[in-house]
Amino acid sequence: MVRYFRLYLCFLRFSFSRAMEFRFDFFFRVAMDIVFYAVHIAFFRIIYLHTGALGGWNLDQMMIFVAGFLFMDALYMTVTANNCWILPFHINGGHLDYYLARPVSSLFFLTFREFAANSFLNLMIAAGILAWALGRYPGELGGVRVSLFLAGLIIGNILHVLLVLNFIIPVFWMQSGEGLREIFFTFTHFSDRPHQIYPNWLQRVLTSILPLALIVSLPAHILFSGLTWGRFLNIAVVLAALWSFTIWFWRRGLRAYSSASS
Amino acid sequence: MTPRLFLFVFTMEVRKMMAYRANFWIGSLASFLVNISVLYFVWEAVFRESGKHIIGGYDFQGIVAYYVLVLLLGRLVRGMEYGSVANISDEIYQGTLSRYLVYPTNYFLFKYAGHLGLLVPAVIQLAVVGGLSTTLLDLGGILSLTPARAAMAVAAVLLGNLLNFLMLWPIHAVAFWQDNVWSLEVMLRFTVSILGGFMLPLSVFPAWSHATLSLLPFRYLFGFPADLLMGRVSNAEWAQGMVVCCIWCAVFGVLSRVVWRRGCIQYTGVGI
Repeated sequence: MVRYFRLYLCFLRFSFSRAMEFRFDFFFRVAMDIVFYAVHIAFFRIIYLHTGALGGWNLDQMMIFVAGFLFMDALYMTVTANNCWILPFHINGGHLDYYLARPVSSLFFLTFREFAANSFLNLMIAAGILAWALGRYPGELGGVRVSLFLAGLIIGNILHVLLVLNFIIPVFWMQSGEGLREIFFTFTHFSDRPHQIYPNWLQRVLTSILPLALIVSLPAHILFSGLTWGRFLNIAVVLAALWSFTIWFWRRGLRAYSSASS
Repeated sequence: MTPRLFLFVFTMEVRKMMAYRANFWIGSLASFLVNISVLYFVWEAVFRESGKHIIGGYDFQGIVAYYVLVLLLGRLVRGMEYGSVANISDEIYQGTLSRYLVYPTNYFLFKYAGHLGLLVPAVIQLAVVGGLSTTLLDLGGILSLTPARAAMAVAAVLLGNLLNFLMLWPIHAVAFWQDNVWSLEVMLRFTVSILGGFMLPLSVFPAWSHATLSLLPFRYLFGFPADLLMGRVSNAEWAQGMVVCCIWCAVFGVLSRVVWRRGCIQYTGVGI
């Protein structure tokens, strides 16, 4: 574990020094994400000009949900997005050999190698928006529920990465991963909105087979309505199942990998 | 550029786009279905929880029709993002722009011909998905599809398509100075999505913003053609809108020319 932690510190050092070489890109990315945050907040603020509630949540609750979504997105963009983007090219181009020869988990190395230092500032901004949304909430949330919500977002991020990987791994058997990536990106639109607005059958799909509602929406639900055994088991079972399946699927993929131009 | 070459580049782009038909259709249909589903459920919840029957001048069925139109017409307007002409900045960065500069043709028109070629698959999708959606969601009564309206909408979409192309051109030309312009392009996409009526109809925005929004270029990419087909834009408003859109095309055309010329002066042909 200590070895992995030290390795990750090296990844951070390399990433920050690389980001500083392209300063304009650094600031463009910061501006891009600020626009992204503004657009999402504006979307819901305009909707709430015409309704007092959406999915049973008032504007203050929705702002916490949106802030949670933005924080989760920034966390993904900072820690794993670049790695997930390049992974299909590594597989198709036969560049995995370098990683497979290392004395560490290939999945860890490939998922965490590049830390997007230029998104790190955005992560700080998103964290600020989340703190602002929680701070302006007029009701009593309580330290325990806020802690559960933040823990839920971290677990949500892990689930998101696992889902992304499951849409990438089929590249071991395919020529291009672009189509699957596009489809996954399309599906993620379901997680941008609170899952209570969907019909029951779709809510069941989004909390089990394609657990996009567990990324932000269910943690926000726990924040406002509390943690029940049902919700706890839902998250725990899906996380364990998806984690195990991803490891199994990755190993199957590696068995199909035949190095150059796989 | 000769019309024959223009047509050749146009058809070449169509063939490239349709080379992987399964990928193209699955990706497009999945995107349409997910987007329209999410928007449908969001607005169903808004109408139900607010208890209102009309919001921003639309009833629920009207707002669904608006999104169907925006999603489909948006593909006609945004053609560039999905095709090979989106790599202008890559060509500058890699230095492969050089081969185009020695061609006996205009690079801008060459790229625009390819950009227009991308409209063909989008038109096929518009016909198939639009027809199915209209029947399944019973939207026929909401659309105002007279021949005159259709002609006005075609003109609005073509001009919107040109405006989108001209807005993206100077952004790609930034590659003469910077190695990565992707974030600028995405920033524009976010801005256009919210201020162009892609995420929300502009009539649901606060009343004080309506006059400003109608003067900005973004509306003419999504909201304007969709409202036109729904009979929410009068002939006089259409004419006024086309004039505003033409002015923005001219503004971005001049900007594109200036940025491109300045970029070409310092272009070394070996990539950054």
